[in-house]
Amino acid sequence: MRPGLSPAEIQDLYDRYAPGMYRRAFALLQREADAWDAVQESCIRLIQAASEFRREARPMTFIYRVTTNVCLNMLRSRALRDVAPEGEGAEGSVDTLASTECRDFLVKLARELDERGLTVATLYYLDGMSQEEIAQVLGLSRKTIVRDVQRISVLARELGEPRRPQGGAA
Amino acid sequence: MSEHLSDLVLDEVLAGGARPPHLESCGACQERAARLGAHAARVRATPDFSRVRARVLSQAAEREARPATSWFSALLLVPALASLAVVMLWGPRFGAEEAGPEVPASAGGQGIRVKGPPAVELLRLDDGQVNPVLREGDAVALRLRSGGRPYALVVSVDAGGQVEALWPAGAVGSGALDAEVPAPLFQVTQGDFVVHAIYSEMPLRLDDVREWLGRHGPECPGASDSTVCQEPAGLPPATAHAAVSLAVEAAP
Repeated sequence: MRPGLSPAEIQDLYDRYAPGMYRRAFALLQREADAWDAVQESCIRLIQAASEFRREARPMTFIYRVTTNVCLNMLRSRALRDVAPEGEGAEGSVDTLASTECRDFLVKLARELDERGLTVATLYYLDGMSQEEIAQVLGLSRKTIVRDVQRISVLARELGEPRRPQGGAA
Repeated sequence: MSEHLSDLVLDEVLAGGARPPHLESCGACQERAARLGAHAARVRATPDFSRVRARVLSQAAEREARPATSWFSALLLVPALASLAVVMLWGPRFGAEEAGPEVPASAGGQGIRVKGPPAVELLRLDDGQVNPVLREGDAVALRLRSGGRPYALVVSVDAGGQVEALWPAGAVGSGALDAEVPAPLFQVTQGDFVVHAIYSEMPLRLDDVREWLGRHGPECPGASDSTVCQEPAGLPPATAHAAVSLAVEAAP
């Protein structure tokens, strides 16, 4: 099998997944320009990992993992914590209040958690994923995620746990 | 578990995946899916969506044009020069005149190898200089002469002792020189390094020579006037070792 992706495949991948990537990126970064940068970077990472991406039984878990990692890295490296979010006119947000609340909470958590912990917290609080889904997205055992969520929950209660979206529950 | 589908599942549905039975019977999930779908449609209609798509395609095309080899962890390859890659001194068409008489390959191939003293050189593509003091960003090609041996393993060792296979690229052992494989091209970054070529009659494993490389610099052990070693101690019989020490200066 060809290891890379053809231009047509890349275009199809982009058209199919970029809107969701953007929604996730905006929820975390709260700025359109940063969110589009994150989409671009995530797409490039997908292209670089084409062989791995092709093998995914659930490609969306790969998309979520890559996009989340890119955004969290941006949150750290660009010090976006000090950048004011954009107003309600921005196209990115679906759940403005919920995502803003979650994002602020994640920024607090970022000071306390390691990289994996923050990723788990993002998938748990921002995406409302079940522990089973988080395990699938991160390619880790459910047992590991259960332990991580327990650890994060203790910390989260101290910091003021946000509402979780409708989708998942532990 | 929640009674509702997560955005992950709804995104899969929106991307053309299977619809879970729950979605057909749950108004809340249908509403959520419709909301996510409408949002995706609005995003697709923005100028940024097209702009970023163009950038992604452009970056992907640039990547595609680059050879897949790497040299050290931070080095970039030179895509535009890939067509000039065959500068190694082996094979029926290249380098025979300057390197000596042609002899039939003794093992592993149908090509003709170049006879002559073993050597390894780096050729700067800009001006053709051999083993010059390089500047960061210089494009170079490997030039090998095996002294009649059919296999080669070329590695770089940086100042920190980090060993990386240059040819075959990223390999764990020797490659057959009669294979018509393009020579790798590299764009160098700053630092000092030694390029070692180990030529042999039989393939060698990188792990088997790694320790030996760690103990030897570019010089031939026991010979003060040559960087070429015929049958150096510690390597299998009929093996030759050639090395070149190079420095890469910072770009002006």
